[in-house]
Amino acid sequence: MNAIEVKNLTKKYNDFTLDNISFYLPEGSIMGLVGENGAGKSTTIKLIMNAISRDSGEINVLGCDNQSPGFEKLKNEIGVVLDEAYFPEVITAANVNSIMKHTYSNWDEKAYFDYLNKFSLPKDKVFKDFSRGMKMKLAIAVALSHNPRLLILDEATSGLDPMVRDEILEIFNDFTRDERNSILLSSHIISDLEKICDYIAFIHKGRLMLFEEKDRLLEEYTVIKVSKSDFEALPPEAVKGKKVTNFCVEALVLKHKIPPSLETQHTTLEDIVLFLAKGDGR
Amino acid sequence: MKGLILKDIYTLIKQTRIILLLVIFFSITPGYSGASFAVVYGAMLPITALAYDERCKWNTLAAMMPYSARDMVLSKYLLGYITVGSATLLTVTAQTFIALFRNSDSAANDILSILFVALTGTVVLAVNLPIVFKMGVEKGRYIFMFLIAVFTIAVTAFGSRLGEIILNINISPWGFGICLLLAAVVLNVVSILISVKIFSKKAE
Repeated sequence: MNAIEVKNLTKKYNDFTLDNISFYLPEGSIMGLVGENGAGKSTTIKLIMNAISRDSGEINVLGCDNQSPGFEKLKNEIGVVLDEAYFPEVITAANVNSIMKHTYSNWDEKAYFDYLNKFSLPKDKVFKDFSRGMKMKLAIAVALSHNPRLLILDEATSGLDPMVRDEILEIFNDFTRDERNSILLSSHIISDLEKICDYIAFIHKGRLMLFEEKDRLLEEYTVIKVSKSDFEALPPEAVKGKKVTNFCVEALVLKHKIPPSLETQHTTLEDIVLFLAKGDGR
Repeated sequence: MKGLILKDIYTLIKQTRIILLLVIFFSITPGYSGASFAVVYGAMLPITALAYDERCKWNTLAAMMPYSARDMVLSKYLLGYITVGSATLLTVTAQTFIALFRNSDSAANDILSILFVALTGTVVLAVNLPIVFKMGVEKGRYIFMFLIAVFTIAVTAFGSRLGEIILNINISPWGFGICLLLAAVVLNVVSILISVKIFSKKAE
């Protein structure tokens, strides 16, 4: 079963259109949603949670149409962390427990306080006095403490220092050890996504540029640095992006479509995304 | 929805201590007019709660939780009924004790007047909340103040004629109270339906 299925999703605003997006997240997997600011990642997440209405397309979450009456109840099984924690500034972590106990039908108080201890979060300090890292950890503790089957994280690790990010990524990895659990994670920090994701969806200016298994992407694509004449000799369908300098051409290419004699460079997910976003195709 | 109301109560207790103290102060102030302030302040508290929601963008997070637009809207009306009800209860209790202590005969009239004010408080909620849901707290407050000014001018201009008409109808205070109660109930039901529609539309 797929934890999320998005088909031909379109949402139009005056100055932006999320245009005919389709992807799926298989159960037990982690998907990274990549894209620049304003690409449409947060809009996609809001549409998945039915927080805004779509213009066309279909969205199924945990086997349920997200516009069906049952979806409101199904939200009990979805943990969401947004780019900010958005809790009222005067409440404490202990207050959050009381609020969430009356919000989620499957709220696990013990798990919540265990997470607070694990994250070294004070129970009685008011939220406004938390650091950014503490605020995000509190939001993650809430998202994990109602036995969710799906976690949706929108820039949840941005602005955190590498130590905290690593700690949180480890928790996400633990979460998907239960193969019924899945994660959709949007982030600017592509290196984080490369560490933990099974699938990558890349949205650029409201359009889905890429949706692929991460390992397959890294197998299929490579970066080469060649002279202009060598570049001209490449088959056009092999080139997915390029950067031309005075001396050479750096290009993202499909590995199986270039001569094996060409020397390839170590290629990261970030290289692939940057070439696709910035490098003009042939 | 209990979670939403609890969140508002935590926020109000911690951020509006002075207003809550004023509500208590006016509640125990002898006489009907001072006590009425307590009930009106109570009616304004859901708007204050909405202002704090706007400040921390709570609705963005709540949209991800198992809450419908109806829950979000209804929680603010319920909060209003709780604050108006609590202020009324406190005021009526305090005025009864004051009357007993002073051995005064005017207590029954004062208490009836306070109940009228409580119903008026729910009418204030019913008028105010759809405006605030539509325009946001800041603009909503200005529009509400404008409506109050229009209402005051209208009462000043036509109040005496209206008074004469009511006297001619020859309705008892209890009859007037029941009419006001029915009007408040109808107005609140209509107001809730409008607010849910506004809130749902805003999310699009």
